[in-house]
Order: sequence, then C-alpha cells, then structure tokens
Amino acid sequence: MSCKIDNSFYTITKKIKNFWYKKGLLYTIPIDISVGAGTFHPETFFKSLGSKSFSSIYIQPCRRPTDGRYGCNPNRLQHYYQLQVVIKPPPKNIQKIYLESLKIINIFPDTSDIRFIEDNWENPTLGASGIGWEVWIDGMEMTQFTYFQNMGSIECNPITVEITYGIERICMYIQNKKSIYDIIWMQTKKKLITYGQLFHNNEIENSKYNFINSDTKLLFFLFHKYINESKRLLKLEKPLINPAYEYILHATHNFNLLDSKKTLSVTERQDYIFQLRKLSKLVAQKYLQNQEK
Amino acid sequence: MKKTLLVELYTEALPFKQLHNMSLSFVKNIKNELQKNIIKYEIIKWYATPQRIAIKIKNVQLEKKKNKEKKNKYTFQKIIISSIKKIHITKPMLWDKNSLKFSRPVRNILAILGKSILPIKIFNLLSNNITYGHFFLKNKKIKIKNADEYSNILLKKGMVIANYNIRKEFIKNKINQKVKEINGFVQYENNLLDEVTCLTEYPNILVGKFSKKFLKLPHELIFYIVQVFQKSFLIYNNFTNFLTSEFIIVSNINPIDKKKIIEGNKQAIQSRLYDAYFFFKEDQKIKLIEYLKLLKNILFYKKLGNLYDKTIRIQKLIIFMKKELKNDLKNAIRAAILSKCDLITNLVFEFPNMQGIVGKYYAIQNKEKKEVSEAIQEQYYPKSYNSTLPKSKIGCILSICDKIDTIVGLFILNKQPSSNQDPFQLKRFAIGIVRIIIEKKITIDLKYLIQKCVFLYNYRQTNELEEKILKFFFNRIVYLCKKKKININIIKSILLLKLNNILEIYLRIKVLENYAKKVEFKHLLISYKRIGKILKKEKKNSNQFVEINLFNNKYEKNFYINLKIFKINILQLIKKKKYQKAFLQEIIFSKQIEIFFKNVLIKDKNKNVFYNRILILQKTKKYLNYFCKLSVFI
Repeated sequence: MSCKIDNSFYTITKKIKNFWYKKGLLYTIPIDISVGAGTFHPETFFKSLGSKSFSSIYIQPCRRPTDGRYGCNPNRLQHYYQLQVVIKPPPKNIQKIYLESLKIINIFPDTSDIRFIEDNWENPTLGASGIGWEVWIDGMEMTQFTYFQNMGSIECNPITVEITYGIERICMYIQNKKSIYDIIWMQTKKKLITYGQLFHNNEIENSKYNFINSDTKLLFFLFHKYINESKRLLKLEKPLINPAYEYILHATHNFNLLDSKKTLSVTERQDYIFQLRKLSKLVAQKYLQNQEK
Repeated sequence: MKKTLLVELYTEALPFKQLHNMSLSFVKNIKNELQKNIIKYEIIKWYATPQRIAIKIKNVQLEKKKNKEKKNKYTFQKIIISSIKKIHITKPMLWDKNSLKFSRPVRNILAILGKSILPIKIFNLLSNNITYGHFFLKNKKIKIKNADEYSNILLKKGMVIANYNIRKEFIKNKINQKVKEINGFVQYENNLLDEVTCLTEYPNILVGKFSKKFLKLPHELIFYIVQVFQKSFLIYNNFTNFLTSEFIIVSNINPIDKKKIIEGNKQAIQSRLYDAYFFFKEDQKIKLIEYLKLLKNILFYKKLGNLYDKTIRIQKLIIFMKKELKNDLKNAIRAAILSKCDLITNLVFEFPNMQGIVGKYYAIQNKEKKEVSEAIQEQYYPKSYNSTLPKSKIGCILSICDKIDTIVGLFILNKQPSSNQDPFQLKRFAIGIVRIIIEKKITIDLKYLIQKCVFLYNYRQTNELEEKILKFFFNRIVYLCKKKKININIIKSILLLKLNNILEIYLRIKVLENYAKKVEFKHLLISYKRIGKILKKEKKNSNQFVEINLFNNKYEKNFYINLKIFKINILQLIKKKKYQKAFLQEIIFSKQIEIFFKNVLIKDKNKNVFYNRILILQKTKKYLNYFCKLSVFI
C-alpha cells in the first residue's frame, strides 16, 4: 500500500459523495442529455416543485459551449463536472454541514479563507431563481450555494437548497495544480491518469466545433424542431411531461451552441430565452397538475 | 430605572450590497418605535458583520414600579418585532415554509434587557442570550451576560469586530499602512471598501501580484476583474500615478501560512486576466472596421435584420439629425459605422459589460479620431435610469439613434413592454433618450424621428404605431417629472397639447411649475373657469366671425384688440422658444379678462350682440390653451 494521501479526482468525489450518502441522501445517476448545469437534472427540476420532501446527490457532466478555450485556459472548460446536492426542506445547520463536508477533503475554515459571496443564481431558460452565494476558497469560486425561490416560474414552497461543488476547481486547489489538465484523475501504485489525458483533446475539438465548425442552419432547424416536439407532447390529451421536458433540454443545448457561435444579438437572444422559459413553465404546471391527481 | 437593551439577528451571510442599508433601516425603525412609545434612551449603537446585524440601546428608561415589569417587557417585544419586520430588504427570501421572509435565513435571536433575556418570537425562533463567534474561526456559542459587554466579548471570545464603522476604519488604516510600505496608494471612491467591510468579521490585509503583461489590457477591464469580480484593491504607484500589478486582498482570517491565500487569490485573478488577455490579442489581429462586415452574421432581431443592417440604419439616422450635429457630422458618421463592431469581438463576448469600452480601445489603437472613439463608448450611456449621460455631442446623438432604432423596431413587431415586464429594456432606453434631450438641450421633433425610423425599417407607415410610440415616450416623461416631484396636472396640461419636441415639453413644464403656486396663476384659473362656465351653457353659435360693429362699449372693443395682440404675442414667443415670456403673456392678459368681466355683461337682449360676445370668449379660451391645457387644473 502506498502511504501517500490519495487526493485524486476519483477519491475526492467519492469522499464527498460518501459524506452526503451517510446523511441519507438518495444517490442518483446523471441525466444522459447535454445540460449546462446540474439543476437541469429532472431530479432537481421536478422535485423542487410541489410539497414533497426529497434529497439527492449526483455528479452531472455539464456542457457550456461558450466556455470552451481550445484547451488553452488553465481553468475554463466547455465540458466539466458538477457535484450536486439537493435537499428539501433544508436542514437548519446546512451551512455547517457543508463546511464539514469540506473538512472531509482537508479544507479547513481556519486555514483557508472561505467566503459566502452574495450571488443570486438565476436560470432564465428554466424560469428558475434562487437566493444564495458563491463560495470562495482563497478567492476562487468553488461552490454555488442556493435556496431556490422559483422553479419553472412557479414559486417554491417548501424551499429546496442546492449545493453545487465545482469538482475540478476543488481538485486543483487540493492537489495544488495550476491547470485543470494537470489534475490527477486516478492514482494507484501502477497507474497515474491526469484530467488532461482524458479530456484535453475533447476540449480542443469541441471548442472548434462550438465556435467555428458547427452548422448554424442545422442548429436553428433543430432548435425549432425540438421546441415544437416539446409543445406537441404537452398538447396531448395525456401530456407526456418527462419527454417534453427532455426536448426542452435538447433545445436549450442547441440554443447554447447558437449562442457560442455569436449568431444572436442581445435582443434576439432574449426572445429565445423567453420561448424556453414559457415551455419550462408549462411543463412545471402540467407536472404539478398531475401530482394533484 | 435604566437598562441597556441588546438585540442581535444572527443569520447566514448577508448580502454585502445591502448590509449597511439594512442596519440603518433597523436603527431607524427602532428610533421611530421608541418615539411612538415615548421611551427615553441615551444612545443607539448598531453593529453589522456578514453574519449579524445588531442594535444596542443604552440606558432605556423603564417604568419604575415593580409590577410594571410585565408591561415593560411587552412594550419592548412589540417595538423589536415591529422594527425587524419593517427592515428594508431589496430581495427577501423564504427558507422555511412557516417563517417570515427575510434577506437571508435567520438562525438565532439574541435579546437581552439589562441582564435578563427578553423573550421574543419571530422567524420561528425564540430569543436567548447567546451569540456566535467568527463563522469560520470560532463558531461556538458565546453567552452574553450583560448587554453592555456585547462587542468586547465578541472580539475577545469570538474574533469578531462587530462595529461596522470601526471595522471599516481598521481595514482602511491597514491598507494605507501596507501600500505606504510599497510606495503605492489605492483609490477609495467606489464601494469596494464598504463591500469588504461587509464581507469580513476579522479582516486582514495581504498583498498579491499579477503578471505585468496584463497591464496592457484596458484599465476599465482590469478594474472590473480585480475590484468588481474579485473584491481586491488595485494599487497605483505613488510617483507615477500609474496602475501597478500589485493588489490588496482583504481576507477574513489570518492564518500563520498566508501564502496559500495569496496564491489562491492571485490564481483567481490571473485566470480571468489571462482569459481577457488572450482575447485582447486575438481581437486585434484585424482592425475594428473589418468587423463591420462580420456583423452580418449576428441577428439583431428576427425580421429586423442583422447588426450590420442596424448599423446602416443608425448611420442614416445620424445624417437625418445633421442639423443638431453641424460640424461634427463626419465624425458622427464614422462613429456610427464603428459603433457595433466591438460586439463581435471575443473580449466583449466574454465581458459583455465592456461593450463600447472595448470598441473605444480598439478604435484608439487603430488611430481613429478621439471624438469617434469617445462616442463609441458613450453610445451606451446612460446605463441605468440615473447614471451618467454621454458627454460629447456625438455620443448624445449616437445614443439617441441607437436606442430609438431598437424601440421602433420592437414596437413594429408588437414587442412593446407591458406594465410589469420589459424584457428588452425599452423603458430604460426611452428614459435615456428623454434625459439626454432634456439635460443636453437637444431639439428634436420626436415624431419626425420616429417616422424616419419606421421608414428605414421599410415598414408601411401607420399613424397608430406612431401614436403608440409617442404615448410610450410621454409616459416616460411623466415618470421622470414625477421623480422630480412635479405636480401631475402640470405635466398633463402640457402633454395634452401633443407636442413632439420633448425639450419644449419639458421647458414648458418647468415654466408652469414655476408659476403654479403664485397668486397670479390662481387668478388666471379663476378667469378661465368663469369663461368655461359661460360657454358650457351656450354651446350654440352660428357666427363664425367676430363682428366689430356689434360691440356696444369701449371695454368690449379694447378687450378684443388686446385679445388679438395676446394671440400674436404668445404664438411668436413660443415660436422663439421663449416659454417663460410666453406664459407671462397669459398672466398679464388675465387682468384684461377680469376688466372685461367687470365692465361687460355677457347677456344681452340682442341675440347677435350676445353671441358675438360668446364668440370672443370662445376665442379667448382657445388662445389661453396655446401654452397648456388649463382645463386640467379645474
């Protein structure tokens, strides 16, 4: 056995997951559709509506096409991972529990400058907004901590608390790396795999696709097709809510791709967001109506 | 009997932009309540950290008799609860479904009167005599035995400087001390000092350094990244006054090993600067003007063309306004052509707030004229309702043209804002236009300008659209004037004239505001009212012309002559834009009306004589409304 402390990406995420798992959270699997954040997961979107309690933890791969930097920037990626914790209703000492979870991975509040900086999170396409903070550790944003106030343009009550760990940033910090690509993904006696080995090429290729090579006409076409399909599914006599929601996610990703290609002005962009928000609201309403039945 | 009262709300980190105002609001409410209940006290002290707001009322006068203790308690409970509920909060939140909303979750309430707990129930919590130390260093319960010892105990046992102003001074002194050592200075004119005071309970000052090559970036951008994003102070050199690559970190803890904090902050700042620098270099591979054709790839709005089309429209609007621009026309056209070019640069795409600023920088690099580069930045002014206006003439006109083009375009598509929703910020744009026109005294016929815009969109002109947009602008004028506390009737009386020149509308409003409280104005209104009453009864009138031979006294004749002079005078003065003098004509003329009524009885046996007089009054009424609709005041 190696006596070196294992601080690989794998181990760190395992430790955080275990910490929350022991608190009784449901361990869930990520959604298999391109999304911009863990919040888009149906487990978060739907369950934060209505009155039933729930709690989940999952790791969600996220795609933000505009954040691509051709693999050049040390801490910007168009594809990365979020570790998402959602609990409804929130425990009273939730911030202390969060600090405990940091201690598990060797981040201590008396040696690291931890700050809760006001940042009222908002996702206009989901009609979601929350009140909360970015959590900074020595000046670097590493977690988003939010109390949802609205989801699908519907007021939340009870409230859901969402804690989103930016795992790459945390790993950089703990492993003392200056670049994401140098993060150790796994480490055994025989093997050492870095984040760069796994994803660097993907970043280069996808950045090129997002900014240069994507087919704008196709993206516009797909956006409208997905929107229409979602609308159609919601208009059925017995609406298919989950598939309709999934088509919103597809449309949203296409919108993000269009956005990164700079095809939309501020004004036009607003209109696309509005279309997506209207649909999310409709899905949320139908979901709640179904719950009541 | 005198005792000290202490109340503390212990919360999850309060928003740094609101902490100060919330505390002052709390104090104000307490003061009001104490006054209402006729309770004497010595002094109120307030405390605020990210985790708490508190007040201490020293030596409140209590009712002496022993059996009054209950009454004392009850009064203070009421005072505190009411004061907390009334704390002004910009964005209240819910965290517990059975609780009240507040700025952030409230986790504990400390309330003591003298040495004993004052029981209070609010936010689903019952008050106690406990507070907590520094959230990250000493997050343990601290028992407060006596209200007076609060801030001392918090410092000693809790590592918290609870007093906001003391903490702020502490930070400022420490920073000044630190920068002096390195021959630098910081500028405090922005809110950053308040922000870091709101973000720390036990502040500590550290110095970091970013790579010097980033100093080539636009300094507005460095400022934005370091001060706005990262809450760190930029340092300027004492001798040269230039920006240095060093910066001040205000941390909330002070560990033995400070390297990690400095390194972390440096990395956070560097990574943003690195991003910006990469784009800055990339962008400058081509000239700003070459981005023009690329604007064709960005849709401005569906059916309204792309950003290139918008640029061309703006250019044409500039030419349309050449009268206002005079010698500046050539530069204004150049500014218009370049105005949107930076929207396609990487830097603006990544830092949207930098639109205009980046354009200005690249224009300077490309050796465009100063007037041109300034205007590129200023086209986006004012950025909010009451922020700075463009300074240059070109900036003003460019800003108006850009905004009016957007407004008209979206109105054509029926995307006008509703009473509570304004997704495209058209209200803000319109207020911007109105403010520029008023404050910079720009003469524009709004109706013509709108018509020109509509034409440039190749839209089939409809009066209905014009009316809608004009009304939209009129409502903004009402909004702005109301903010200046101008009486709504004054505003209405001018707007009802349906003038198209906003500057004229505003100047007339100002004249009326000046006269509104004067006796002369009241006399004018009395006369006007009297005329109205008479005319109301006598609607029928077949005569079209006043017949001079029907006059049967000199007063009548004189009045008629004066009426004609009055008409000519007021119209001429209005035409010459001498609004003050124009309205003075009405005031002067109102004396003539009084004389007329005193000496002439309107009723007459001879119907023709009678109707002739009615006709004179009708004309009088009409002319009196040339300046404003006086009926609004009646």
